[in-house]
This record gives sequence, structure tokens and C-alpha cells, in this order.
Amino acid sequence: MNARHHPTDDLLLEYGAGNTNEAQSLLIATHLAFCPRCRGIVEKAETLGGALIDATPSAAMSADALQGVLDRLDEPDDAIAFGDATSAPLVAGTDTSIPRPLRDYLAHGSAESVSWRRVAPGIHRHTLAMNAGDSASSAYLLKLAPETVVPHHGHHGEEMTLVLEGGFTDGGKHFIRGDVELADPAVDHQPVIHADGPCLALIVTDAPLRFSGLIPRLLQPILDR
Amino acid sequence: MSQASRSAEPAAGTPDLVTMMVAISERKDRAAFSQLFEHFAPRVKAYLMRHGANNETAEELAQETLLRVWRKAHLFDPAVAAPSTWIFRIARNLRIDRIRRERRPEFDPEDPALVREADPAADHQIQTNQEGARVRAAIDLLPPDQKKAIMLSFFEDKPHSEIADELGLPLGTVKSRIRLAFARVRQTLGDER
Repeated sequence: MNARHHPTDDLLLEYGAGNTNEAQSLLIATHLAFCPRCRGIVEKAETLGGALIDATPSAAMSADALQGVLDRLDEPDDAIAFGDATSAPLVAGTDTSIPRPLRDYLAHGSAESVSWRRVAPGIHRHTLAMNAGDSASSAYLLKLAPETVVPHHGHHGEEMTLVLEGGFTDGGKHFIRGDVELADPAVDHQPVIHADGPCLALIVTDAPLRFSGLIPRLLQPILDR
Repeated sequence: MSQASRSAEPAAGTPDLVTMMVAISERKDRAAFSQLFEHFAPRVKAYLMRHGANNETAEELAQETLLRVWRKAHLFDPAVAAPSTWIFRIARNLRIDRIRRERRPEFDPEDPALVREADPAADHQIQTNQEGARVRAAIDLLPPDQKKAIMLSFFEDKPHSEIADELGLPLGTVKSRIRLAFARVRQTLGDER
């Protein structure tokens, strides 16, 4: 089934333009694997980018630039850049239910084989390492037991949650595999995990969470780590 | 979109970039590559300089972009993307990799986990050289303030909030100008929404 909750069109345009940070890009790219609708929007943003490059005043290349490149055309191509859609062979134990952009961030390509840390009853966390030491945002996976009530919390910044497995209900809306929930600083929310199984989710924040109750506040240092 | 508009000849004087790309893709045609280089390398260089690269780095990365175009040419499909769209993606990803030094996560079209459109024809909007030209025409028709906002969004590595500061406008105004400009382009490309 196709996703019903999407990132904003603004964010899809920013991703297409190449302005989102690595953590945001990871979440959006993973959502795109689930969502033909959003792939279409990003494709249009990229078409716009191409048209803008085509229409832009050019900067003169040096006189020998073309010859320099022509001389290199027959060199073997040994560099496979990250982000190339060249499919790497799947290693044993790879979990193909997790789409590729996220799989590339998991040791052995599986959410089972990474190290999980228990941060609260029914809640396990695995922090994903971003290439750039980007302190402005972070990405992590949460594994939540059925019927877990995630502590009531607001946010200093924006938070995006992408469901990979299972689902949850928040503010009367249901989020399942492929769906993205957007929470902004004005929203105090309290997701409840569906009863039919555990939930695996990718979360990207651009600022630390802030919990409102006393007990949750004790969890704060753990979740921020 | 009608078949007629899709098969129309490019306007006189416009280099036929699709023909060049197909010649490179199918026959490793060096003459066509030289023409494509002359057209795109200076534009890609300008794009990279707008993103903060100095002359030397921009020159080197523009050459690298075109070299990648040559090496990946077998993957080019004129029914799926215009050459300018394709080259934009390569230049953008190289910029993120080399200037911002970050990874650029992208979905993999061959991924077994990929959810495909129920109607496969709808999964890809057909984008040809003519569509590139139509988008350029649509950009030219935008009100100047919208055009400026969308240019800044693609040509400077800045969040909308910084663009707003630079233009001395409220963030909401900048966002709505960018939104309106993108809506016009999506309309041009046959977006039903």
C-alpha cells in the first residue's frame, strides 16, 4: 500500500535542490523508496534544477579543459560515488524490507544486527552515524514494543518520523510503513504504538527532544546521548 | 501531453542535447561529447561557483561532472529524463560530496524494497528536450520576485530562512514565492494536483 502521510512539498523541493542536510536526506530518500507520488515531485524539482542550470549565465572554462577531459575518457572508472544507483551485491543477512538508502547505514544491512540500547521500558534506540559531524541534526532508529506509550514530549526544533515496520497512532492519525509524521515545536505529541506488533521507525531531529513530565525529564540525558 | 509535442523538432538554433546524449550513450561519440561539454561545462562551473567553490575547484568539478556523464552515459534514457535534469543530478551530488563533504542518500530504482506505482506509466513522467524548453519558458514568465527566490533556492546552499534574511523579507513571503514558482513548473510538467 502506498504511503498516506508525506514530507511537505517544501522539503521535497529542498531535497531535489540539494539543500537538505544528510540526516533529512536519508529520511526523505528512504520515504521515496515507499512513495511514487513523492518521487514524482522530486523528479519535477530536478527538472527545474536542470532548466535553471541550462538558463544560467555560464563561467568560462580554461582553454585546455575540454582536451584535458577528452584525454581522460579512456581511463578506467574505479570510483563509485556514494549515491550512485549502482546496486551493490547484497551480503548475507541483508534485510531487503529496509530500503537501500537506510540499509547502507546499517552494519550488515539489517536492523537486527546493529547495537540497540534500551532507553526506556519498551523503547530501544540505535543512533546512526552521519558522515559529516553535523551537530545540527541527528538520525536514529527506535524499536518500540506493541502498545508502548511514548512519553509526552514537545520539540525545540522539527522532528520527522518515518515508519519502517508496524505503526502508531498520534493525535487521532494512524501512521504505518512508509508514512512520515512531521512534528513542529508547536505540537506536543504522544504516539501510541499499535497493538499488532513492534514498531521500527527512523527519526530525524534538528534539535534535542524536550519532555514535559518529571519522569520523562529524567530520560532526557539518555535520549540526547 | 500529446504525441505531436513530444516528437516536435527542437527550435532552430537550440542545440539538440538529446541527440548528443544518445550518440554518446549508444556509440561513445567523442564529437557529440565535445559539443555537450562546450554547452554544459561552463554552466556547471557557474553553478558550483554560486555554491561557494573557487575558480579552480569549480573548474575541476565541472570537468569531473562531464567525465561522469561520459562514464554513466549507458544509463541515460531519453524517455525518462532530459539531459539537463540528468546532468543537474550529477553536478548536485558532486557538489554535496566534494564541497559540503556529506553523503547524499538517494533511493535505488533497482531496490527490491522499492514500492512501484500501480500504473507503471504514471511512475515516470516522460521528460524530453522539449519539456526542458517548456520549463525554461515557464521560468522566464515568472514574476521577477518569484524567479529570484527560486534561483536562490537552487543556486545557493542556503536554507529558506537565510534567503529571507538576504532579501530582507519575512520567511513566509520567501516560502510562498518559492512555492508559487514550483507550482507553476509542476503545472507545466503536467502535474494534475
